Amino acid sequence: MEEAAPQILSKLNELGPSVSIDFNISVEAYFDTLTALIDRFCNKKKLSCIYISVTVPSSTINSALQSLEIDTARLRFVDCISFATMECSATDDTHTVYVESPTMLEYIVLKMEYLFRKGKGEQFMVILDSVNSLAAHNEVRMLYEFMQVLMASAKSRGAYPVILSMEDQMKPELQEMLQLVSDQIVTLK
Amino acid sequence: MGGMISISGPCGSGKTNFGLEYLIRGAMGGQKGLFISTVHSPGKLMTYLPKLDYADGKLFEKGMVVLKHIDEMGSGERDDGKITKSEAFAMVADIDEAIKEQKAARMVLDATNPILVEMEDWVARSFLLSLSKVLFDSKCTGLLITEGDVPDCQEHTMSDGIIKLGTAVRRGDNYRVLEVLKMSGAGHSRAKYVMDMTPEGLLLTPMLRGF
Repeated sequence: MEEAAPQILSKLNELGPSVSIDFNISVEAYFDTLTALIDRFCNKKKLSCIYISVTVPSSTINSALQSLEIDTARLRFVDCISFATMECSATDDTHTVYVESPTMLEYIVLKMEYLFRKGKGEQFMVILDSVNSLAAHNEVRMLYEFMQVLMASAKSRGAYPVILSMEDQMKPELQEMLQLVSDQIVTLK
Repeated sequence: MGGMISISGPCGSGKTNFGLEYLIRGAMGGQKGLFISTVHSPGKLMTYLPKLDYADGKLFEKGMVVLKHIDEMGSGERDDGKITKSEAFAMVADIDEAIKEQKAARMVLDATNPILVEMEDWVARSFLLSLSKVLFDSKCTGLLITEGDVPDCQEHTMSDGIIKLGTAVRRGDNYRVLEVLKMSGAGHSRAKYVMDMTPEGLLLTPMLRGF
C-alpha cells in the first residue's frame, strides 16, 4: 500500500481541480488514503477540505487524524452519521455541520454549499466517504441524481471533488453509476 | 418594484426568517426596509434574529431596517373586537407614512392573519387592495406573510406573487421546502426546492426526484 499515496498525489496533480475522481480502495488502505488526501495534498497545498462522512463519525476521523499528528485546522465535516449513532452532542465545534440522516441527500448538498460560503475565498477539496455507505441508505437512481448535483456543485466552485469507494463492496449498479458521475476512476492496488 | 408578494406556510416553515433576510439582503444592497409585526414587539423580534454571518449586525442600528408593531398603525380602535373599514384605512395610511418616512424599498407584514381575522371579508379585501396600491405608488415591494397553508386566501388572490413554504416528507424524513406558485410578469421555476436556514442565509437546492 506504500504505492497508494504517490498514485493519489500524482493523479490529483495531473487532473487539477474541477475534475471528479473516484478512488476505489481496499479497506486496509483507508487511513493511508485519508493521510495522502488530507495531509500530503490538502495541507501541503493549503486547501480547505470538506469531508462528507457517511461511514465513520467525524469525531472518530478527527481523532484518528490527530493521533497521526495531521493538522486538521482546514478540515470541515458534513457529518451524516452521528445523529443516527447518537454521537452528536451540543458543541461549539464550528468545523462540523450535521445532517440528520444519510437519506437526506439534499441537505448534504446544502451543508456543502454552506461551508463553501463560509470559507469564501478558500479553495476546497470535497471528499465523499463513501459512496458505498450512501448506497446502503439510498436507492441507486436517487443516489445518481444526488451525485450529479454534488459533483457539478463542487466543480463549479473550483474544488477537487473526490469520491471514495470500497472495492470489496461494489455492486454492478453502483459501479455503473460511478462511471457516469466520475471523470476518472482510479483503482488503487 | 412596488409589488405585493404573499408568503404562506405553517408554523416553523421559516416565514419570519425569510422576511428578515429579504430586508437584510436589501439593506446590504442599499435598500431600506420596514418590518411590521402583528405578533411580536420589536424588542422581542430582535431576540428572534438568527445568527447571520453574512450580514452587518449594525444594519438595524443604522436604521437600514426598522422594526415596528402594528399597534403603532391606526388608532387601535375596535368595534366589538372588529377592525372597521375606517380603522383599516387608517392602518394603511400609517403604513404608507412609515414607508415614506423610512424611504423603504422593501416592506414585510408578518403576519396578516391576526389583523385580517378581525376584519369582515369585504373590509379585508379593501385593506389589501389599498395596501397593494400604497406599495405600488411608493415603489416599495411588500411581503405579506400568512400563517398556514391556505391556497385561496384573499392575500393570494390579490398578490402579484405567491411563495409557499412548507414541509415535504420522503421516507419518513421531513424537509423544509419552498415553491414559487406565481410571480406575475416574471419567468420563474415551478420546482420544489429544499431549504436550509444557515448562518450564511437561506440556501436552496432542487428536491431530488429519483426519476
